[in-house]
Amino acid sequence: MDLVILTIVLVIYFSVVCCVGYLAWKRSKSSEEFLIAGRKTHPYVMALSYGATFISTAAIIGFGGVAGQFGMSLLWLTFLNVFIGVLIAFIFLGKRTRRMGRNLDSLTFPEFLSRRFNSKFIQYFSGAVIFFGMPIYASVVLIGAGRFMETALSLDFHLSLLILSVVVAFYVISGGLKGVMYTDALQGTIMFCGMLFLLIFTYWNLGGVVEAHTALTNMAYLFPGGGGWTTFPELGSPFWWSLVSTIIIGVGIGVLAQPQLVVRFMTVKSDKGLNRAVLMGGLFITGTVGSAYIVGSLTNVYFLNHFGQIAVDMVGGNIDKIIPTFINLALPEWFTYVFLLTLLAAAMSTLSSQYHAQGTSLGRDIYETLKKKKEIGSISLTRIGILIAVVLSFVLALVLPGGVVAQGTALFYGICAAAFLSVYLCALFWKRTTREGAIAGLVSGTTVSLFWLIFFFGKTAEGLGICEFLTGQPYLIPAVPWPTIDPLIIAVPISFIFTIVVSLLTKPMAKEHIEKCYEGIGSNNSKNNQKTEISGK
Amino acid sequence: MMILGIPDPWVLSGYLLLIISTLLCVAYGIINWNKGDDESDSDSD
Repeated sequence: MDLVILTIVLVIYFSVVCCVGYLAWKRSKSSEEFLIAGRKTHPYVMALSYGATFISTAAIIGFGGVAGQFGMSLLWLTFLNVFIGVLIAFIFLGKRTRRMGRNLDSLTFPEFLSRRFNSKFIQYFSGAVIFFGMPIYASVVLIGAGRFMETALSLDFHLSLLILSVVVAFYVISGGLKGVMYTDALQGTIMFCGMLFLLIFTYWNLGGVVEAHTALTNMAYLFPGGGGWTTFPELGSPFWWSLVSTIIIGVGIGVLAQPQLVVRFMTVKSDKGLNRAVLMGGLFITGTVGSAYIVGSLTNVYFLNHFGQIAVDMVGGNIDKIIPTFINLALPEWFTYVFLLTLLAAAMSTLSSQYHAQGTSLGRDIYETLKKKKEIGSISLTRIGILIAVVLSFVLALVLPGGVVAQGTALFYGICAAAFLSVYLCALFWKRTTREGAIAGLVSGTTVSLFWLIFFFGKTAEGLGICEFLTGQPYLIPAVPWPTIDPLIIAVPISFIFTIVVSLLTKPMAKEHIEKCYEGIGSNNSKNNQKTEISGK
Repeated sequence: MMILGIPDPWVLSGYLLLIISTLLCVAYGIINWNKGDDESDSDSD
């Protein structure tokens, strides 16, 4: 690879991203524009921003590598990403969130929950969960992008981190959510084209779809421990638990309660925008993640045909290298530039949304709520919040131990889903939910998931080391399947039970408030339409 | 008999469900392309 060409490509890319950020800054004057992109975002921008935020480098390189090791059973995760993360989320949650968010005039996800349940506590507690939970996740993404720049450009790792932090901070602080979403759309387009080419090339290189799959099936005798790359893991085996529990349920369903994704529903003007975004979002997730998992699995065929080895052996056991090694060996040289750009785009699009979500949590949800200030200085407060988030992630990226870094994403997804999923779904669909019920669900979900992550869930408990420090053993119950069960499976049902039981035991919320929240939603929607028709006549 | 070169029904169903759900997204988007442009939204903008 020519370092000069790569440097030129990256300089052009950074310049374009900064220009888009500048354009967004010119168009972001009010706090509504800065916090939720003025509620008039184009469906293409919304869909790609949602997808690009959701899909980070880890999904392509990390999970692509896992597919190289374990095979195509991982496609269940992509199916759930599309079916739940796009189809269900956009149609059933997105439309209600958009209308309710507008009815309540809320500009952030914690503010949405807080106004739905008339509770300031919910706003700053949720803000705190996001602000304190997200930096680890953000630093993981930052480290991934920094390592990539270090390797590709032979740059110092610390300098790479600094360049990335400064560039992303520039367009997030100046352009707010508009800056984030415009650049996400650009980065999402690069990711989609890059990954789609990779998929088509791989199938073409291996003789076609059926031929490639058949070749992979026929080499099952080489699969370590029996089974195969086109076979689902044995029921009850540790990998089966890991696949079904962590990957499918954790990431597949966990996506529903990600604050940085939920807030995107409130950025479009009408349901029409969300209808159109379903098409683009579905294609995007399949084109990017689906491609990574299929290509990851099929690398085994290529490596066996050309080097007589399976993918894991080819990279000496480091599965993160499976996709990059395949690209270096199998694809034309020009594609390596495109792919590096794809990875950088994937990391930066996720990072920018994380910074924005943390900034709004600290500025709008925590500081402004506790100080009881209204509107004044929202943009400035959020900008300071974003700056603190950027510095925090940068420092964490420098000091975090490897064990914690490896679990950063799982930690955040686990806490977020456990804290918010039940309260968010009840806020949208169950009018009987009370303020006390919502608080009980939020606090119980957060507490139980933290407890499970620290003391029971093998990977995170071991990575954090708190359980080892306190009890002398890495996790409390070593017998399978307990260490492999995702915190979500335990914490989400508990959170639901608390939300429902406490709601039923406490006084319902005022009828006028509920009517205001649900105005234009469900049965109220048809009444409104009738009124419009009558008044129109 | 193998369909698409994948013998395991679970893996095959994952592959097919991914394609079907993507097509559902596309179909939903096309069918509802111009639906949902409500009055109340344009009033308040």
